[in-house]
Amino acid sequence: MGRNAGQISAELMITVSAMVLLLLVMSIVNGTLQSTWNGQKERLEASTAANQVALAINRAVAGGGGTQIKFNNYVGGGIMNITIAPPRAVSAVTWNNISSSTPIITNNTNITGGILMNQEIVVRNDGGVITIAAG
Amino acid sequence: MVPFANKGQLRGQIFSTEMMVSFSVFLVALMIFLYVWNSMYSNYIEEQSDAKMQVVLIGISDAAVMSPGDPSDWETSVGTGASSYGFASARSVLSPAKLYAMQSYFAANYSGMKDKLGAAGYDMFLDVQDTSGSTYYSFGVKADTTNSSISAVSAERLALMGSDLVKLRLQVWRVRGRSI
Repeated sequence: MGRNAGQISAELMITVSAMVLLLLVMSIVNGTLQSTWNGQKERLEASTAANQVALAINRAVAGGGGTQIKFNNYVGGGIMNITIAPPRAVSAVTWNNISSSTPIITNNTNITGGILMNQEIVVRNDGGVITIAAG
Repeated sequence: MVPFANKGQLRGQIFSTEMMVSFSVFLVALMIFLYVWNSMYSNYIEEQSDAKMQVVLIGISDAAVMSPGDPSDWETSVGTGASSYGFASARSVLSPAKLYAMQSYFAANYSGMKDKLGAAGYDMFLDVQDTSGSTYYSFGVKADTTNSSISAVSAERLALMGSDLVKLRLQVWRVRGRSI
């Protein structure tokens, strides 16, 4: 029943299998954490982008007719688009289709298509109607 | 003299107590790490949701004391169909008629009206008090701030109503863990 020279013992096989299993577990955990982290990072980017536009629109509404809010709408490189999501929200979407929306206090906007990004923009209250144009 | 009398024991030694202990320690450490990560991740999401709630709070409270709403006579004309709502007859001067109208709209349809005010996805409570704490108007659902599962932010604005100095207090809140 003794082992021949060069023969691998059952104990060694079990140990190696256990090690490989642990490596697999670590690899799966690492992959999961990385994907949740990346998703959350993108969600934060989208949330920040939507928040700053929503804040400007709300300020323009609260200020009344003639109010203009000018600011640099700088967003992260991961943002694909910022739009008005009817009836009362600003929505930002990332290239990986992760979106975040922030409620606003008006549904009276004249904003079609995407809101300009990475440049100075002016949010204007024209008699109650909110418009956004390049600054 | 002969501790290893049995050859079978000798061969099995590598897979004995030390190996089991080391695997267990590794697995426990991995579980602790995952638990801590999960907790950090949840906190991160909560912070993000709270930041958004602050934007909502500022928007509604600004409009409440600074804007008459759109149209400015919404309380007598379009009612619940206004584009935006404000309670000011002039900047920082509150209109009792607008507050009274909103109070009755909220009593009839809390969920729909809070969304129209700009608090979609959240809950809100607003009241107007004089400086001695007597309430003139209040509407919405107040947060139970003793409940640790509730996250709330609040703002207080000074304004005039008639000749009285009043405080407009707004609270926006949500149940933690609810995706916004």
